Amino acid sequence: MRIPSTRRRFLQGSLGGLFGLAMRHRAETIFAAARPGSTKRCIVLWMAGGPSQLETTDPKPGAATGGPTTSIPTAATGIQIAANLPELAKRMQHLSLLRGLTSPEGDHNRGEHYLHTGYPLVQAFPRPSLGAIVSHEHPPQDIPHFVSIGARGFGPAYLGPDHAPFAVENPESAVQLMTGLRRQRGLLRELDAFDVAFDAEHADSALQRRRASLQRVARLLTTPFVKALDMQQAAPQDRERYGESEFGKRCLLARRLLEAGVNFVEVTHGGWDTHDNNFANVGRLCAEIDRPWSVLIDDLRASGLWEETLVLWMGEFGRTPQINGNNGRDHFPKVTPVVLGGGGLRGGTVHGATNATGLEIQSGQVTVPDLFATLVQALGIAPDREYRTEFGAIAPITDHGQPIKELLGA
Amino acid sequence: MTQNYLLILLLTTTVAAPARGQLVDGHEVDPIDSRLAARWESHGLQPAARCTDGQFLRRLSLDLLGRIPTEPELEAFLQLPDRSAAIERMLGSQEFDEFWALNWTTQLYGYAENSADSEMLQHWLVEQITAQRGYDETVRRLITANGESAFDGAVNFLLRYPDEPVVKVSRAFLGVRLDCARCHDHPFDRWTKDDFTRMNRFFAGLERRDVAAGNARLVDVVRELPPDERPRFLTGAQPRTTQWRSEFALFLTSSRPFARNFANRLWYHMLGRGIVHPVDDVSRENRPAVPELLEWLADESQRSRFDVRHMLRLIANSTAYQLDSRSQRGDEERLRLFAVRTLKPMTPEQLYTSTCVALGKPVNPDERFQFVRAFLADALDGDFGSTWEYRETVQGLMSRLVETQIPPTRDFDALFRRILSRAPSGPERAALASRPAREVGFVLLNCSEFAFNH
Repeated sequence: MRIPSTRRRFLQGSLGGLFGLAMRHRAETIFAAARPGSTKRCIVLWMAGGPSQLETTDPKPGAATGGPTTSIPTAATGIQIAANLPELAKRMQHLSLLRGLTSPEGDHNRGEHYLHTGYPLVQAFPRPSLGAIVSHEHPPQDIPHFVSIGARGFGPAYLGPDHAPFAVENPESAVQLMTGLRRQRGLLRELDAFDVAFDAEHADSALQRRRASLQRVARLLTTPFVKALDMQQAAPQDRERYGESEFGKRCLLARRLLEAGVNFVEVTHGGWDTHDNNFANVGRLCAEIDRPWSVLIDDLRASGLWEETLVLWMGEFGRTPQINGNNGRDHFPKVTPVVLGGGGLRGGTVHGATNATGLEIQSGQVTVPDLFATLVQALGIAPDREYRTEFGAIAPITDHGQPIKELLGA
Repeated sequence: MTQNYLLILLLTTTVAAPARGQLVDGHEVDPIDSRLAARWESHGLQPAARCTDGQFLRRLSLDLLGRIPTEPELEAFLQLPDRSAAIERMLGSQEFDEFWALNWTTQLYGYAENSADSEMLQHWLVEQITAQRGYDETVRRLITANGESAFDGAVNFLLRYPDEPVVKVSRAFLGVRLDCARCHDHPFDRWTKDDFTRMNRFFAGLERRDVAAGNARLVDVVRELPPDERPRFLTGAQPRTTQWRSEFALFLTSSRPFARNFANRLWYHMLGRGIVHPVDDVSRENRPAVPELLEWLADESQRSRFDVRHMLRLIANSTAYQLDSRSQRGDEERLRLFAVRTLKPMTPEQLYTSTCVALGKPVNPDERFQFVRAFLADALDGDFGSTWEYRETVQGLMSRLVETQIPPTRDFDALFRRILSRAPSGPERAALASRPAREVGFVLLNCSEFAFNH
């Protein structure tokens, strides 16, 4: 919500109606985008339910806790991952694994909050999600900074509603919303004209914000956002490469949104809460994500977006090495798997290690605040940055975490 | 240091002034008006004109009942515009009880995906308001509540804040933000991390037990602590019994900041701006705009045993409440000192109910919740303690702009009366009268004039 004063004045001082303003604003956005040293971008692949590290990034074949999962070598020398992710294994030289991340939060809600904000959930002091932070750190633009696909996403807390995620539960209804609004364009102009009298007679910041929101809506309709959302316009070969699975479509949409100018996309993939029948279920879930995730990496590398885009894979916690009576694994925040890549991060590395059973972290233990300090720094934001809440409370961007230097490139 | 300042803060009381106005030259002087008039004069401020009758009824109806007036209500009032009588009528209605319970539920609880617990709290609050229970007693009951979430509505407040309940409690009932002191000593004030820890310890005996699916129980466990770790209220008071929560509730509701917070929040609800503003940032750095008015309102709150209706009646009858809201750049001082009315963005609940009134549709609680979700674009997690923050997201606004509403009538003038509670102006007639009713309805239901309480 910290709109630079020049921009605020610009919005207030406009007399030219919604669409005149929309056109004039575009020039401003172009200059803003060209600013050097700007914040990087991010895609989060969120495995809702808590993905098993033992069937993905940290297999234990042969151990009693390992189950039937086998491991395969990867393109990164010395790194093995579960055989469930063969395509990803071919791209391991671009990726880093966290095998020593630990969290105290074993409840779904609390874990989701912790891994989205870097702060433990305190109902009376909501914290902004990483997406809202990235939105806040980029200069204002017409296209939403932060889009959440398949889930409502985590909110902006004190950073304000301008940094709320644009939630795309499914792309079709989002496209319908946009086309519906386009059809209303004449009426929106009528509304704008009607508001002039009332708005001119009242000096009020909320009124100005609402007016700015209406103008944002009008400008949004003129951006490539609508086209990017419309999956009908995606190239058939792309749709084929990403596959027809829900997650595949969402990954392709994430790439399209990134290309259209969105700076933070979270893609949710559900079903990872495998208390029952863990091995078959995780095998199926991995088959759903392996190819789209890999194709996304290939595409970002080919288009050059890879270096400026952090790609993260994680969920709210890991799962117990002990196999329960239903052949499942339960919540195990003590080891929470994360895969990172892009954004200038070093590839082909593993940070941290668990012991032979996977029950203990043997080396390289890091905390969720450490992960967030790393992410924030990789994104080009100072990890010691502090925000002020609307009431003046100091809110450090991370909960006193230390960046993991080994991941942060040379 | 901390204790000294707090003691002064808590013990200061002003000399009690009479509840109703004093007689000056044989005329009764309103205690609110006289204090503000003196301020305006000393600052050389010209107060705004009195608002029109139609504007007054709309304003009052939104503030006390949570919706715009119906066309018949507006018509009846314009024929006999007795403002005090309208205030009495609304304060005595069941709608008042329900709106205020909803309002307090949002402030105390916020929103949740599963609304069963907040509905229980809301029902309980309706009962308290209908029974004319003093606000201090209501809060004592919230703080000391025991029992199960599905049966004992009051218990849902504390169950909502299992971690560090004192953060919400001190913000909601004292207007104090201890949030910063949870990590380090407050940067602008004298709250220390120790103050926070010791305040929170009043709730150390609290335990949440899940008794059945979706049903939890709040129980107290007696804890033994060495004297220098025992709970301590911000005034320095410490419990003498094992009933820590009960003692805390008494310390809280008999403290002066509690009375000020109560008065300031009611004033904020009605006037759109707190005397201390924002209302939950009472601190040395954030002084009240009109201290003598805040102290008088706090006195009056204590004298009336925290009678909500009594306080709202006083405020609604004051000159400041009934001023016009038109303002321009450079009016910051006038707005700060209540010489012109502040605009309030409607809450999603007010907007939904008002839309129903305008369209002649019945109110449906499920539909209302869907509307709130759309308005906030599902950003339900957050603190909603400060009612008039503008929280509509761009996506929420978009989803409302594509909704097609069937206009309640084709009559151009009637559309204005039903939606904006006024007649159209000449230019508005020229611009819109020839348009289809659907388009006129769209513009009126989405314009800023409708979205704000002015």
